[in-house]
Amino acid sequence: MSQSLSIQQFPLKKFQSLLALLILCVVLSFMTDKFFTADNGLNVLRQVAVNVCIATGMTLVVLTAGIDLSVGSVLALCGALTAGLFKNGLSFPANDLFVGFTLLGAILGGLLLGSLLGWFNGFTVTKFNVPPFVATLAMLTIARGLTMLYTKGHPISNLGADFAFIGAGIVFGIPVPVWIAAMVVLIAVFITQKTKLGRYIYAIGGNEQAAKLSGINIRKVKLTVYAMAGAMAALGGVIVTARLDSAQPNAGISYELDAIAAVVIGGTSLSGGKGSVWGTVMGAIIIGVLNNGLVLLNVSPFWQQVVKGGVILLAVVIDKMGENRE
Amino acid sequence: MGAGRTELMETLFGLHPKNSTGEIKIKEKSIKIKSPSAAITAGIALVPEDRKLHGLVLGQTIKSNISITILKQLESWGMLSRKKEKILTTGYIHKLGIKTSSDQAMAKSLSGGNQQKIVLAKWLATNPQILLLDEPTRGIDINAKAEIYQLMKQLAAGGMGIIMISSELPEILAVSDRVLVMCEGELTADVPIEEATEAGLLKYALHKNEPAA
Repeated sequence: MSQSLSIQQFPLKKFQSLLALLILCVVLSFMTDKFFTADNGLNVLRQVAVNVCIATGMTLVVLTAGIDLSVGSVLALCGALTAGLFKNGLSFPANDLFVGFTLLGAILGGLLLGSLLGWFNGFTVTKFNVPPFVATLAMLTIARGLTMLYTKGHPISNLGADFAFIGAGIVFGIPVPVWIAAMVVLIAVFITQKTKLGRYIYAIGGNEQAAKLSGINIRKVKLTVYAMAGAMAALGGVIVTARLDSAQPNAGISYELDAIAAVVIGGTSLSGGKGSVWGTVMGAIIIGVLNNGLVLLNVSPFWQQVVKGGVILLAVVIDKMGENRE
Repeated sequence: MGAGRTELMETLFGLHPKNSTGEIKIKEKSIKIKSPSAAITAGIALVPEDRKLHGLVLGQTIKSNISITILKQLESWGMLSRKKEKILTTGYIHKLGIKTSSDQAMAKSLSGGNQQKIVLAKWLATNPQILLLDEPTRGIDINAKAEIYQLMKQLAAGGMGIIMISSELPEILAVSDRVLVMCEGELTADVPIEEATEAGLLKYALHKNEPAA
């Protein structure tokens, strides 16, 4: 009996967050007629796109029993670099050299920096055995400081229509940020469910010692995962910058908390090895719908924070109750 | 126990690359083993002493636990073949007689003996030349024990080298061809099974530096 119960555990967990989302949507539809419209739906999706990108990377890290607190700062630094490269290029006065960047080149530059910063997180975690919480907390401060240095504390604005299209454009009726987030999610789902790397991620989070003894190169997997989380945060940075048509030095502050909330509400265990990218997507949309619904219902922003915290707590309690039943 | 048996196995398996010296030869060929993956490539497998801590990912399925050592072989075009994996895992479930309703059951839902068989399966999947078994029958029921002895005999007859660590003398005398005794980190005896007796082996395990008989 206990076996058949545990077989059903995974799909049940997947549907838990989907079910919560559906209930939330039904309730909100009854409470306000502004909620259940195509426009508002796309609006919510556009708003959650950035968090989905970040939280997807966060999920990969959390599945290895790690955490990445630096994503908000990495987002800001990479957004600023992308904007800076695109607008001003790189100049090396000493060598009388100037390098200009196309939009794609500038974005790739931002993504490259994001993966490097993430890789460095993974490096400190694996090489010096620094707890991920501390290693990425340090990066949170470092990357924010570097953002201030690079932007000299001023926004980099007026990036032009092409750049703004990434934030505001619509393709086939769907906002561009939603397309980008969907692509990130599909890649992450593919990695976690269809590849060797995905299995390694789950094995490391489930039992790192056993994974090591199975011949898995723990360091390589973790470096890859942190680098991917950095790249996904950087992509979030590109979207945020495009939406505001400006790279703000203080962009992304406390975004790591929304990302972790999405991961947790989506049913991924912070102790690693259990959870899914789909769950996180559900979690991010739940947070988005909740924010949106509370705004539509004219609930004070202060209460919104209280409610959001309550939902996170509820999600974890339900999760723990499920674990105890096992 | 402090005899250094587990540490020796771990060293052979590449788990102590920085603080180990000496030479490993397989079939007269000297090889360097600096990581578990190098050990696997060299044809060595280690069934660790503590299956819950080191052998299995308890919260995952039997299938993922068995296939974890050979995912490379199950991958084509960057994707894992579920079909190949299914064939592999159901094959071992039958071959080793793992009692479970499905290969999707969680490893932690099984009995100690069946868990140990999963650990054996995941290592047999790598086709090792040399199988290191660290207390392979600890904490499992008598039937599973008998099955594991039987399996060891079959594997050895098929040409696999097996090095088993055990603290149970009757077990050692029943399954071995050759007995090595370790005490306080040093090898104290190397006895062919014909000359091995419980009392004789015990002597080497207890008294260090006693001259060989």
